[in-house]
Amino acid sequence: MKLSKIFSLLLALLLVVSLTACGGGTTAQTEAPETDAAAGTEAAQTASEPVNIVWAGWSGEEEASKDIFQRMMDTYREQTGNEVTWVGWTWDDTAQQLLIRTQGGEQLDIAQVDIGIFNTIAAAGVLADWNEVLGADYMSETFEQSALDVGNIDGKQLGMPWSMASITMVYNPEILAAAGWDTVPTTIAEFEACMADIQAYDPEIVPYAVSTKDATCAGDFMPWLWTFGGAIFNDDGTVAINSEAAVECVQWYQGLMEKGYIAMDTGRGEARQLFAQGKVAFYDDAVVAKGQAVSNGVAPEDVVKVCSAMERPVLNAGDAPQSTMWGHMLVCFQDSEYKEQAAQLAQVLISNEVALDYFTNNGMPPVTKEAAALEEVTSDAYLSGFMNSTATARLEETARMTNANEIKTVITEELQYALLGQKTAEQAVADMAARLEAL
Amino acid sequence: MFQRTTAFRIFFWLCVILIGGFVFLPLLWMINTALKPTDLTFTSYFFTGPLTLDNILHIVTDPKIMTYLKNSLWVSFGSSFMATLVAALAGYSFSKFRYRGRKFVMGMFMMSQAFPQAILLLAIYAMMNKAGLLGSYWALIISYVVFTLPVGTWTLKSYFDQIPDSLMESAKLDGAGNLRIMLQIVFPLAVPGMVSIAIYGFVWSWNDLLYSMTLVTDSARRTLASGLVMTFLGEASTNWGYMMAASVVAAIPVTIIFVFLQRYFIQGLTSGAVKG
Repeated sequence: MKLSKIFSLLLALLLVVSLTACGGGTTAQTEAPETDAAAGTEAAQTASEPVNIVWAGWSGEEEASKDIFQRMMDTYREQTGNEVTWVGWTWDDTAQQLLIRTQGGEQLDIAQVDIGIFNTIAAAGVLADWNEVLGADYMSETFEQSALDVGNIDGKQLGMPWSMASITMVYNPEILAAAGWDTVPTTIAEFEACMADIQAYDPEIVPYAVSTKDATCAGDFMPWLWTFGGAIFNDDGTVAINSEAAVECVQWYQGLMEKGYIAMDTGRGEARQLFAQGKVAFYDDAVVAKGQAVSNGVAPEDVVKVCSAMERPVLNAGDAPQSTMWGHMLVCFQDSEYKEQAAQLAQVLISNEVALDYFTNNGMPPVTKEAAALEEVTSDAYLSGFMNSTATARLEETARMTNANEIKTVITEELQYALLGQKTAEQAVADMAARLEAL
Repeated sequence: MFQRTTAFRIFFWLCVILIGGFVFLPLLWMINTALKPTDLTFTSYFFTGPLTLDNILHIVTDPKIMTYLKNSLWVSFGSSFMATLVAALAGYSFSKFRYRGRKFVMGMFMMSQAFPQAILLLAIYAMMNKAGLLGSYWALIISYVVFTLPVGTWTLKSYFDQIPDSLMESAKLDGAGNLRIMLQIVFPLAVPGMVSIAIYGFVWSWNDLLYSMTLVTDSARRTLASGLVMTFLGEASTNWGYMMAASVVAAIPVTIIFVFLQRYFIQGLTSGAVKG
């Protein structure tokens, strides 16, 4: 019995040793940042030795922008003598991963965030105020106030505008021309007539690949809801969607579905892919649409021939075209020991040279006053379509809400019920309202 | 008698077709998409239109994908081996020794399964950070061992329970020590159970996305699941043809392992169920 106890203890010891042994092998890859970080701490004190900052996001992982991001980092290294380490995930996972990294205490100095996830990150209370890092004067001298407002929460400039425009409608000029349309439709009536002509020209083409699934469905629905005069919420935050305008909007969606102008099971990804293959005439997208076209072999200067932005058609002539704000921001982290160096990187990223490179090759519009006024930017036919819509663009109604995903899921599900004929427009809208009120 | 009736046979085959459809249709669709030319990715034909090996060839000749594959093999084999070893030792201890706290620890092992893995991620991330293991294969291997251990330990404990104590007592009478009994008598009899746990651990590691994406951020060290997602799913573009081709390639090692070892897997998982 005694021997058994000793043996069981030995087994337990072996278990612990085996786990410890596997935990003891640290790779060179993980040691390096620690060494750098240690060196960086001293350097921050002396402000003389180079440091290694960590920059996170998603675009540096993507084929369409990977090389551009390498050039950005090379420029930073050359100009400052500091090192920068890129940490990337997918666009979908970035918010979650940024929060895990900040909560886990891992080094994180600066990150790229989408407008859609900005509020989530800001709500975690981990972001530094750019007005304190770079100075309020620098910020107001560099950016337009409208751009700054997007990254400002409760008076704190938690997001630095990096690239901003709108999510508006994109169309294929070649398809429209073939269907007999030399100009884009400006009203909903014209839009429907145009889609009918496109369908008559080629029934294989999906006239309008509006998103009917995932998070982008609610994102596409919002500007149409505004177009019909509706809204999801009132100014005081109460639910406003149970309205005639919302019912009309859903009925309009149902009409498009019945006529075969839109299709179920279409997300942004499918729309982009089909659009790039010339099988979609219209869909909603941001300037990043250019990246898909370039990836598919279209020369950057020729993108506008097959992919142009237009203002969303309005209900009545003279109405303001609706679109949602889109953009990427740079955020600096409160716990960063290298805010100064992170700010240097931000300044490199918004510099004319780097911003133009990003703009030319990836279509990302610069936002500094100086860069936005450059001839290359103002004369760009591709961008101008987006910038026209940006003038009246609004943040998504859920942009400042912590339960944005839940709200979008409710809207998407109820809209899908209506499109599948499982609910009338009235029922779907009433259920949307009831479910949103219950959140 | 009922089994021999025509009605039963019709019912049986309908069930087989229905369940088979649920299980295999997504896999066949994946292969179908992998074999379609890029410009026909979103067409709805099912093996009846033009098919090409271009996507598959692109994947198998892409050094980056092959690096991900190699990384996945390292991590999956490593975690599978370690999980089996530790689960065998723990299961043996729980089964054959009586000591204070044994049932409590066994209960803790079982309870650990009740927590969603996503919730444990934050704690594991912080621990790996403190240990300086973030970014290394070890961070993944240890995490996967942790998740395989509860099921592995309980399965192997059930397996060891079936091995009669009289066998061990006979060995003791013949002068064998505890270590020798364990290594030369009990463990060889438990090989099917160990193989089933090894396969379970391997598949778990192979398919994981969340931990591999979070704990390893250096692209050269990424495993296949996270590498594929990072490579082919972008903000502005998704290449479904390559994605599906890569998924087909990724499924091959697991399929091969399972085909060769499925006998042990089924035997190992069901052995404890018949214990009287």
